[in-house]
Amino acid sequence: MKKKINIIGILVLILGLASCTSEPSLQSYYVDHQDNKNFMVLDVPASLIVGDNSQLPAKDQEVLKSVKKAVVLALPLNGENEEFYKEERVTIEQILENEKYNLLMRMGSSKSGVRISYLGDEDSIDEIVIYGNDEEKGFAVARVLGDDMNIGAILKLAKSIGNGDVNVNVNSLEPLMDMLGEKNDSLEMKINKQRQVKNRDSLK
Amino acid sequence: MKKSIILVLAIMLAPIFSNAQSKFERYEKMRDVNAMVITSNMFKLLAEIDLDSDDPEMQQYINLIENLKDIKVISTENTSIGAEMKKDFDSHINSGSLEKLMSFKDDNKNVQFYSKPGSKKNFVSQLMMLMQGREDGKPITVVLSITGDIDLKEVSKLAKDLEVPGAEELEKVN
Repeated sequence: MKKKINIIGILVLILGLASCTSEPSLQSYYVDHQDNKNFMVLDVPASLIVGDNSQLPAKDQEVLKSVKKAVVLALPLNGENEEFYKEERVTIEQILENEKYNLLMRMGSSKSGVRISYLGDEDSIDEIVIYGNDEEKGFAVARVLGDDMNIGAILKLAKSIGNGDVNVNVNSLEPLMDMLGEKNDSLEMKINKQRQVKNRDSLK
Repeated sequence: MKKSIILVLAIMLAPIFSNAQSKFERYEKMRDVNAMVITSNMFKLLAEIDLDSDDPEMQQYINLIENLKDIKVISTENTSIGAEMKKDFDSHINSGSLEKLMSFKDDNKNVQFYSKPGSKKNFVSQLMMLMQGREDGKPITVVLSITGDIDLKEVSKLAKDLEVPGAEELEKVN
């Protein structure tokens, strides 16, 4: 009897370990695919994304500094890689289904859509993942990396992307960027509206 | 003895309640369906932005956001999927003990609101809307579900800010 329990215990342990190591993460997906010719990788330092913010109050600048960089992995459709796209799309969407990616929101249909999630605690976010997909253009995953990022930093970042401040010199990526920007707009508008209300109130 | 009966009942009933959510989740994967999901994670973050606000109206709004669990909207222009959505909506209303809040009809829209009672007066724990009709000349079916501790007075404002379809209709709830 005791032996049986021992065996079960060992089995559980092995299974536990196996599931830890075999769990696919975005990190490993990036590493596995960055040399694939179908993919485009873009490493964007935070300074490039958020642009010149010297006019911002020091406090805001501090917040922005918590964002280090964004890493974009994109699979643009080129008319020949449709099968590959379909397979990879399933893989990446499965990774993002993992519970550790706290879903913030998703919208769209199976034809095209956006999904925004984060890794870490709500007070100190380690990574924001923005995934955009379009059956005619391809998909892109952007990982925004930083230390203890807070919501202010994220929203400013989203805004600077939406405003077209991003000077990304890869033409073929633009449609994907546009797609992300467009979908983010309604949310930004809401946030801006909230800000305006607040500012107006503080002027009173 | 009594306890065990309750337990058995609870176990038997549990899948019914959990089923209710997944009933609509399957639509999200369909090709002609547009879906939007906003989770409590997002609401927590949104509420953080204006935490230091002194404005009582803003404060109320933040309270609403903080207490939301999720918002889900699915919509389709496909009439046969729309008919299926209506069927699922009706059966969900019946099995989930939701009460009719209001309904109205105009030239091209038929809208129904149902809710589950919440923690206090004017608060509901779930708000569901079914809208059927035509929009820009196309048939449309929209199902909206909001869960959490919802202040009915504030929720239409939020729906409007998030540009959720059906926001105008929601305003008429009050």
